[in-house]
Amino acid sequence: MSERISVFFEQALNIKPISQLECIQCKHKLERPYKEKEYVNKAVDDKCPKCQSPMYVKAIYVYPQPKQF
Amino acid sequence: MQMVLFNSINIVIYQLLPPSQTNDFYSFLLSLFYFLIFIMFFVSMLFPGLQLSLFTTFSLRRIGDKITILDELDLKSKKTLAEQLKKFGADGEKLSEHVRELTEFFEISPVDRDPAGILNRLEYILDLTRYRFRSLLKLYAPKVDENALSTLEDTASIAQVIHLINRIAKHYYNMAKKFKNYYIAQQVEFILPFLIDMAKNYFRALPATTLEVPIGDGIGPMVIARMYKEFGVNETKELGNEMVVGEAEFQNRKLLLMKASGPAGRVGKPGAAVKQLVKSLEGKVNLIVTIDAALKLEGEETGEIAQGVGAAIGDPGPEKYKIEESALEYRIPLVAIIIKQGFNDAISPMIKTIADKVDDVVNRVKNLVLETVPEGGIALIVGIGNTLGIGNAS
Repeated sequence: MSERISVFFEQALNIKPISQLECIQCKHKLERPYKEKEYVNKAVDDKCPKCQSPMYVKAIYVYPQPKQF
Repeated sequence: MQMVLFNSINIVIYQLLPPSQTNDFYSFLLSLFYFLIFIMFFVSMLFPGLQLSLFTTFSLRRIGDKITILDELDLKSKKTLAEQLKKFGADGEKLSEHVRELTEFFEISPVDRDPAGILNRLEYILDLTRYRFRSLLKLYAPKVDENALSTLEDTASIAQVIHLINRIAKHYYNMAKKFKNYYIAQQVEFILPFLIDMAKNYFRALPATTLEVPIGDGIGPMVIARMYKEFGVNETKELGNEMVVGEAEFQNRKLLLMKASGPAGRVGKPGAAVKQLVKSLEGKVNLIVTIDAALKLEGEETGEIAQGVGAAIGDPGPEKYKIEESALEYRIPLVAIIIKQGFNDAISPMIKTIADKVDDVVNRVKNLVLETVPEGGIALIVGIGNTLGIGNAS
């Protein structure tokens, strides 16, 4: 297997999704690594660092990787 | 013409003169070498089949190297499917047999020579395909629940498509090899980079299904999920066909927000749900908006939003037909909002550029409703696409 295709497999299989959380009170947003079984609109245990109110998952995404292949 | 030929012969003879006359032995050797090539060129012209055979051999060798990439993609996607089946209690001994059966699964399109009623037959075949495929998955992975089954179905479908691409490429490669046909080999060589790119894009979708994160195609359901949150929709109603609807009030207008039931990997049957809902309201709907991801053209920016008329849905036909039919029957304006993205972005984990456009789409929908729906009216907003990793109302 060529080096280029092995790099492709490594990049494609090891994605690092991000969960964007939003405070339900002050709408403060923060990003942290995605945790298993999280989904958009799910209430999470994290507290808002500004007002200590509950937060929910506003979006889940990955940062675009530079296309090398 | 004779003059040209005479001069050429003179030049060749001059080049072949002994070193005593040119005073350069190496020049003589070089000239002799060029002369031999010159002769070989003409000799090879006498046997055109030889050249073509050489070109075919080189072309087939290049294709063979590239086919190994497709083999690797096929193998790794099957491995991922096997791991997922095992996670849900598949029999370890028969695992490879089960994976083979799932990836070789096929459907036969209905006959189109007599097009009357083809959409009904197509819908029936599609439903039957899905039912049979899910039954096989349940049989091979007995511990899978309904939600995980939809996501497992997505994983199996991806492995199936990559396997199909590999099979087709290999078929034409082997055919070119068998008949030593240069023209078939050339066609395979031309199209192979596109097939590899397509297989790679499908492969990139695999981690999304195993991790259960939204894909680019999920932008439509994500817009609806955002609207549920924004308008404080706390519960949704099951409509059947794996679709849900939530009700919201917006400046004295009623919004019916519809999407496939999440967060499992479902697309549902939006056409059937729209038809059912519009009929239950006796057509008293002032606007139907469909929101979907659409393929961008080369040069266009990812995440660009555009608005038009019609049903924005990329199904094979039956669902789109039902939405159009409902709109036509009650003369309801049918507006489409699309979010442009590349094929790779649409089927792989959603990138931030696309996720950031959700609020813009929500604002567009609100402006559209204010512009076209009178106070007291109803707007039906449908988020089309795979709702993997996107929940309903919280």
